Amino acid sequence: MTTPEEPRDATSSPSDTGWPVDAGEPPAPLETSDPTDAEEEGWPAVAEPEPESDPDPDLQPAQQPEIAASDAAVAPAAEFSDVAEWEPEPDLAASDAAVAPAAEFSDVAEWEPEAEPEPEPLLASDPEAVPATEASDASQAWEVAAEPEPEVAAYEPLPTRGGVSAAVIALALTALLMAIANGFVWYRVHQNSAAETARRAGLEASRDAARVLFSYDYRQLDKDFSAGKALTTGKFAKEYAKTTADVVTDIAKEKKAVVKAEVVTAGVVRATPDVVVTIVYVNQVTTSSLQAAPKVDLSRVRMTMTKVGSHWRVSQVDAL
Amino acid sequence: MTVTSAEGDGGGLASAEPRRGPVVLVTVLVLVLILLAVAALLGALKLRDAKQLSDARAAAIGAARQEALNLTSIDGNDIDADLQRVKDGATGGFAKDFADRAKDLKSVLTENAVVAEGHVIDAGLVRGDLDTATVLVVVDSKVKNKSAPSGRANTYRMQLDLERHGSRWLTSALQFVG
Repeated sequence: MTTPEEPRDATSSPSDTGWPVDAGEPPAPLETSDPTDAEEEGWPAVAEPEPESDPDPDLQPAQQPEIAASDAAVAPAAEFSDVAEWEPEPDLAASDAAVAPAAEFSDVAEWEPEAEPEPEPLLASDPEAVPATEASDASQAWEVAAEPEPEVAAYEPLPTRGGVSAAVIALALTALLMAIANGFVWYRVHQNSAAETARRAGLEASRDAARVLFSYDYRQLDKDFSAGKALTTGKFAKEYAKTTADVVTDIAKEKKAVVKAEVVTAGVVRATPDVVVTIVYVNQVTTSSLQAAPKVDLSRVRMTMTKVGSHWRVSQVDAL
Repeated sequence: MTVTSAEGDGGGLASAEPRRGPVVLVTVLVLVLILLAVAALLGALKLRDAKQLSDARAAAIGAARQEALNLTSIDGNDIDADLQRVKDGATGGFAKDFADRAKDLKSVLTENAVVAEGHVIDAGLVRGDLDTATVLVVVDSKVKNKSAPSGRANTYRMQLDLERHGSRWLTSALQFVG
């Protein structure tokens, strides 16, 4: 008794329930030449037989042949012919039969067969559900149908979900790959954008830094050099501090030197998001006790700018 | 009969609901795939644009370095060939100016037995797009002539304006930055 009840619940599978229903009603097959229709009717019908099926466990074997016959009637559709075979052996036959139609998906053969029958019931189930109920007159037939269902039913739910899940998995994997591809592509887009931003910011920072680093006034050396040191970073910061303190300070005071650096133009040698190398054409105008007239030096400086936090700092200077 | 029919309807609905879940899921996944494909396409287009710009800039810098080198390299054995190399990389105003001076230049170079060997120290891009660019080229050269047979070192700060002509970048303006 328990077994029949369980299958009833499981009767959700369209193929099993649908066929018996049609068989019970001779007119039904005629009306519904399409296999899909038959199945659709089967859905609602399956639920009905449940109450009756419980009382008649014996009927199952005898009625099974009938079901087969009904299937044969419906059989015109290729799909049904396969199903008809399995009826005698609901459990094993059903799985095998299902596999056969699935021929398209060789790899997923086990899954797909189930998937194919599913879509039909889904689409048609709603509208045709009503006719199925009408057919309920063939109560005996229903009962019979219900019995085989239980066995098959246990298998079907898994396979149907498997068929859909196979498609879902395929889609999900494809989406995952696409997402990864997008990650690579947009990471590079971001890098390019960051490098372009760095190119402008680093170039401008190098021009500003050149004016400060290469200018000084002997009357305010501490102020000038501390301003310069604030624009440097890393090893160059130490070099700058040492050079200005040990060499430039004494000479500047001795010569009463005032050096004003002008940036004529500058260009980018290379730029990454965090490091920009520039070439700066600097004109240094020097006035000192040595010369009556200002002296102009045309220099070429390569500056390496490194991003520190949100600021661009000078990490290297090469006089070319 | 009515009872059975009611049950039948209920069963139909119940069975349909769990199956619509996957359908919705598949639909969502397909939409996500479409969005991802569009996003990837947009990203690829951006990368292509960025690469085109990067390639254009690199080509412009390369052409500028070559033109600067040609201008500061005088073999002495074949001055016409030296001058012709410069002309081949020139266009517009620079080409015209150089052509106008070529005759005088040749005579000066010949009379003084000038031999110059240029070296490009470095180059930087002031600005550049797909069709035009401004490039700084730092050049040193060692010049030998009658008055300085052992050679004299010169340093130059050049700035070149370039234009793209087909696949070639030609110099349309060249100045020694003072």
